[in-house]
Amino acid sequence: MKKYLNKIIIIILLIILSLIVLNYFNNDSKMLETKVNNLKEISTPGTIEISNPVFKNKGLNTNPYEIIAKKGIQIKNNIELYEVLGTFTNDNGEIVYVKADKGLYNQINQTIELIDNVTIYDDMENKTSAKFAIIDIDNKKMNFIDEVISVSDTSIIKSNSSVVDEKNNTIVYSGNVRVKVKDR
Amino acid sequence: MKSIYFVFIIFLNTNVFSEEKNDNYFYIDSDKLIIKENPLISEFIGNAYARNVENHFWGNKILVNYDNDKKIKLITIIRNVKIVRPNEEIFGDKAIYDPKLEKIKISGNVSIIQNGNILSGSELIVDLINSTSIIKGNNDKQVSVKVAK
Repeated sequence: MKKYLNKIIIIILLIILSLIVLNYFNNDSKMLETKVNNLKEISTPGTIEISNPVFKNKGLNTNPYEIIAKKGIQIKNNIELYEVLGTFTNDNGEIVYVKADKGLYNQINQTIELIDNVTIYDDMENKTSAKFAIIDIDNKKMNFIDEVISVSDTSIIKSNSSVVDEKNNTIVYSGNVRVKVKDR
Repeated sequence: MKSIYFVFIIFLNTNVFSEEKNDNYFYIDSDKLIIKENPLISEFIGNAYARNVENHFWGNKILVNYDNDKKIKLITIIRNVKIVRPNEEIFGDKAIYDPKLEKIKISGNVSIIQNGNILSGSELIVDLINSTSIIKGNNDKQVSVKVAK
């Protein structure tokens, strides 16, 4: 009887061991699969992943600016940016800060598309937020699209879209414009 | 000068609404807004509507001029002007509201409706502090009054 019991115990132990080994290899292959998939995504021909990219312009022909991001993926002339932070200096020397979840920087056109949770603010507590924005660096224009809200110490402006034209010193808000401004 | 001006002075009691003067904001809606700097001007274009606690203004266009502290200096309402105030409705071609002086000047084809009575003229000045309205006529358009029975 004791002879059989020993054999049964050994068989059970072998089964448990084989299960553990199988499970380990299975997990490993899954991880490997994920890594391969990630590699496939990243290693699309013509793409380069850049960690913590920084783009600077000291302002010989344009006003100085700096754009930094947590991650960037270069696809030909465009660079997809994640967790974008930027600073732009305007003609008056004032600094404008830019934040967005995602961005698309075109080095040739000198434009930056900002997507999701776009916020632009300055040191005077003027702040504009929107779902989407395009910054045209050469033409000194900022286009805000969808759920535009501009807040200053004296007013709140809401609209469907907005264009800030620094060259012509104008800001145009279009579509369902609603303003709350201090009376006196 | 041969112009004949008729002056009507109407005393109004607006104290009833004085309790609502807590909100120091102006609310303005429109289809489009153009903000120009130096000097700072806001141009509200299309279906423009502005209001504060007591006064409601409608027009095709509303221009807002600001002072150096970016506070409202003047509000100009242009074309198809309609102003609704406690106990009265005013119509005209153009209106200028000065929040500091608390005066509204309406010009063009002005008419004012009060308790069913209709007064028409070429210019109306509403003094919000003294609760007075002065309507004027000119050579082309003398002041006319239509009294409701």
